[in-house]
Formats: sequence, C-alpha cells, structure tokens
Amino acid sequence: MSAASWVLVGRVGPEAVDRVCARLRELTPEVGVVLGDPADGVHALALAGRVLSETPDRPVVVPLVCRDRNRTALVAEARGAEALGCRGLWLLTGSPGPAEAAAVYELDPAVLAGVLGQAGVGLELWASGRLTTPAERARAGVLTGVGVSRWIVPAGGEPPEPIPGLSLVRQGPGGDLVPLEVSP
Amino acid sequence: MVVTTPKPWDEIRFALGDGKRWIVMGCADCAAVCQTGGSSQVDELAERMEDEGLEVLARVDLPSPCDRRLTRRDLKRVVRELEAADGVVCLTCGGGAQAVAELVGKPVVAGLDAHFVGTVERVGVFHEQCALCGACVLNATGGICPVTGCPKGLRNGPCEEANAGACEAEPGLECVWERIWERLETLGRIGAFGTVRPPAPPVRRPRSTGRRTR
Repeated sequence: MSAASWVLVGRVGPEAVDRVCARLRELTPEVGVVLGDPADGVHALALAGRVLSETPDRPVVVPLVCRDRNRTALVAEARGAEALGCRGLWLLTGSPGPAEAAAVYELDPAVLAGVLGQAGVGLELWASGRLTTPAERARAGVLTGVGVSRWIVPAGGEPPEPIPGLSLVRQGPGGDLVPLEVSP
Repeated sequence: MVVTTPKPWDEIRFALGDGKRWIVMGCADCAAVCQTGGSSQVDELAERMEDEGLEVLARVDLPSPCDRRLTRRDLKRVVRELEAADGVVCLTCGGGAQAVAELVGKPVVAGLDAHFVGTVERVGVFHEQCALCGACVLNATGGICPVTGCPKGLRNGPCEEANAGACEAEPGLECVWERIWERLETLGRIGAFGTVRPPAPPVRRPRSTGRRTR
C-alpha cells in the first residue's frame, strides 16, 4: 500500500470544510486521505488543494465521478489532480442528481481508465463496489484489466474473496473520517 | 415504434392562432398503435376544433407520414383542401410533422409529443428498449439493452452502487447488468461480459445519412 493507513472523507459541505481539515491535521502525514463523491458539496479538487496545502506529504486520492461530465471535463479534472500532487484517482460512476438536472454518463469507470491512460495521466487508479455477485466480481476483473489497482469495499458483510491484481480496502464504521482497513 | 402522447388542447389551440380552416392528419402507423394519431383521434380533434368554431376541411389518415414518398402521393388526394387551408394539424411524431411541413408549404401544428422508441406490451403500456445510440451492443449482452435498461445508461456495468442485483438509482428495479450476466450464463456466452465496450459515438446534430444540399 502507498500509505500506512487510510481514511475516507465523505461529502463535505462548505460549512464543514474547516472542521474536517482540522481533524485531518491531527493525523500523521503518513495517513492517506481518500475524498469521496462530493455530490453537491465542495468540489474534490478544491478540498484536495486545501488538504495538500496544510500537509503537502499526505497521500490524497480524489474522486473522478463520471456523472455529469464528458470526457473533456474528466481528463481536465484528472490532470488537475495530478498537478496538485494527488496520489490517486477514485473512479466512480456516480448517482443521478436532482430530477430537474439531466444526467450525463458519457463514460463509465472502465472506459475512463483507458481514456486516462491515453491522456498520459499516471495516477494510481482506485475503484469500488460490492464483490458479492458474479457480475460484480467480473466488473472488478474488468477494471483490474484496465489499470485499477486499489478497491474500496463497502462496510458490512463478510470480507470478499480476493481478486487477483487488486488490493482491497474495506470501509469501517461511519463518521467524518471513515477508516479504511487494508485486507490481508 | 415511436411512442407519442397528445399535447394538451390549450397548447394546440394556441398554436392554431388566428387560422380558421385546417386539415387534420393522423398516422396510421405508430401513432395509431399508441391511440394518439389514429383515425379515431383525428375525428376527436376535428370535432373539438369544429366545436371551437374552426373549419376542418379534411381528415386524413397517412399510412406513414414520415415516408415522404408516400406522403407526397397521399397529399395529392387533398390538394384542393390544402390550397384552401390555413394550415395542417399533424397527429404524428416530429418526423412525420416535418415531412408534411416540407411538402405542404403551410403552417403545421404538431399535435403530439414523441418520447421514445418502444415495444408494445399492450395498448397504453410501452417499454423503451432502444435508445437509438448508433452503437448497438445487443450482440454482446445477450439481447438485453443496458443503455435503456440501466438508469445511468452504462455500457460497462454494473456500477459501484449495485447491491446484490438491486439498482440503487431506481428503487425496485433489478440491475440490468445482473440480468445480462444471467442471460449470458444461460446462453453459455459468459466470456462476452468481460469486454470493455467503448462509449457510443457522440451525437452531432443534425443527424442524417442523406446528402446535404448546401
């Protein structure tokens, strides 16, 4: 793993930025931070910039959400993460937003990984999902084949069987900073 | 089949404006199946218009308004009424309405809204099963379309939120990618599941396979 341990930060609204950053400053620099899908919260790159400005050596993984972005926007965000000094990208499909907004899913994580490779983005690629059904496990195999190396498994249930080529990270209980437990 | 619904009468009435004499045209194909543009609906609209003091010079059922060759032929039957009319009300999809508009050279009022290409379960119950994406993946998905079946239209699924076969974006919906897995497994073609399918080509409008004239 590229960090001693990891924490997952969920959606951060503007009112929570200072509190979350204060909590992160209490952690040693070796603890990596994975920023979750911001949805309608603070943009992930902005939050990553704040975290890295306060602790430049901290490994930071930012979400790259396919929802509502075409490939141009996704590549630009990935390059922005690289320029900030982020460690990795968490490729997410994303959930639909409010009903009055048209949902756009030009790419999905499997295609996005290939697009990022063609664009020369060299960050570590993360993905996530349950690994319970054969279809879910097959999806993980596909994503591994296109360069994903880290996988976040949601909390609850039995630890899944390992997937060759994937390092599994399991979500702990909730809260502002959710610990991510590296599977043996 | 193009699935349509009727526009509200107020919207149609507004579009008729000051015109007094009209021809009402329906579609004996898709709109007739939907019961939005068949001969009964043409009669209903014509009677509503006459109740409003408008004059309906002709009621026409076009076999396929979107086929310009057939429409050009069929409009010859009402050439005198067309000359006298202020315009045409079309109970057809947008393709049919535009084909008529190009041929008659008069104001055309669209009486229907078109929604999707669907299959018919029974009258009034339609299912969108083709998104006209131009890059069909049915051959690789066991005949199940993920673009219309998945609320996110994913061509490589399931998404990370899938929960043991349940769709997270549409409560109560089974994940289409789980159905695709089961279908491919039944067909002995599970190897097709692991292919990364590229996105459909981006839509550049106007779309036409015809020759541009300028």
